[in-house]
Amino acid sequence: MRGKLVTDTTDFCSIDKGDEILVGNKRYIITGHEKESRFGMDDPKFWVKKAIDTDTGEKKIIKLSHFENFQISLAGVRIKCFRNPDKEGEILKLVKNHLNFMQGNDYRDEKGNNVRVLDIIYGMNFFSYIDSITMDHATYFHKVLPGILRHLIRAFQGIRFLHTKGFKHGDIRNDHIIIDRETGNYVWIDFDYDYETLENPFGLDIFGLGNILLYALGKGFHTIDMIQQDTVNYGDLINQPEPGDFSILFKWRLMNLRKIYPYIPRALNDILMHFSKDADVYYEFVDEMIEDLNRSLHSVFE
Amino acid sequence: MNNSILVAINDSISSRAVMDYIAGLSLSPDNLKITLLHVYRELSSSEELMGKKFLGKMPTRLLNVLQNAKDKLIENGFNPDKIEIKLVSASYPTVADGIIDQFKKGEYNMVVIGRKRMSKAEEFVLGDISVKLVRAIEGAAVLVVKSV
Repeated sequence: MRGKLVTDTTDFCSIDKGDEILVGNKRYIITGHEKESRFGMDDPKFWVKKAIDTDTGEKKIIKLSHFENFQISLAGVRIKCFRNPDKEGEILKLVKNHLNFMQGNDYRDEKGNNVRVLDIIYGMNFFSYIDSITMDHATYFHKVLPGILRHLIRAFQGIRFLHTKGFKHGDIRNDHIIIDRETGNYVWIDFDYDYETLENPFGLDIFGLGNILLYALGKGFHTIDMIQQDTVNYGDLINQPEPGDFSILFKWRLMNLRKIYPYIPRALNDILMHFSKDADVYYEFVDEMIEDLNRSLHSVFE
Repeated sequence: MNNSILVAINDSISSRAVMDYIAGLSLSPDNLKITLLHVYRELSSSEELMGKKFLGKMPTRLLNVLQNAKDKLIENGFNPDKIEIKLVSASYPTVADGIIDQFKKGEYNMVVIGRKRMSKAEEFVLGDISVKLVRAIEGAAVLVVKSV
């Protein structure tokens, strides 16, 4: 059965498979909804549609305007977060042809709602990629990590570019980097979140980068629970970490990876320690972190 | 020798602590010029929701804060002719950006700012104006008054 033609996307829940969205003088036939996996369950994201461009047959993702705001609490600090479709639209224009950002266009429907039509990036996300590496940490560290870090630095430079233009990514996570199957580029996706940390506008973005670096250096996260329960891999490490070795915002997440992998050079580990409870100096700009990373990369691996 | 101090304040407890501190200092008021400064930060979306009426009253409210601060200094023997009030109407991305910009536009020997008690996590996430000033300001002292 042929669906309806949609020119007003305000009620995005009512737009279903078979319907066509008309935007930017083009028609896109809806083939389904995107999902978000949480705790092993898939939550449909009704404002994010899978679609096909009826002119070219190309698969697209269409993001419709969904305004939600909520407060998160990180280590007792409350932060106001909200979705900002216009910000994502502005960034799409800014990063046109930038290899480290998803590509697409933003339009207005007949009611003025922001509609973003996005190209699909084929490849694994960074979270799954690291998780799929089965070799031991030492081999990974010496053979695989240098290449990953070079890609990550380029991706971090992308975030620096956003910040210099006054934009935040807003939701920097391991699964918001897609490793483009064709080019190998690390591509940022999903930048419609925003947050208010008024005197430190880029603080949470930088914290997100710190977590990604931690995940890369550690070949996964290491928490106090893991260390307590997995004595085969962690040995008697449980007696060694001190409170200052853990994340300033996630109190069970180990930042001081040298406690597990002593061969991680101090220079690299020190970058992570900027995000630990022991830190007295924090990164204020991504530049500072990139500079330290570049210096470490050259001194450690070259 | 003449000295010039830039004192950045708002209507907070830490700014009151700043004024108490300066008023109680044994300075030489005739050789001292004090600029009491307030800068605006660009409005956040939640501040915009407070409405035009609330926002419209802000300049008057902040001028009162600055005037009260000036009065406090005068009561404590400072020369009224050497105290300037400065309410900058332009807004900045952050308060720290505003203070740094105003510092660069004048000739000051010292910048004074208040600082409320913060946890490490708060400082990390929310930022700390005083740290930014210490990092950015060259050729002058930065005095941070910590409120209890």
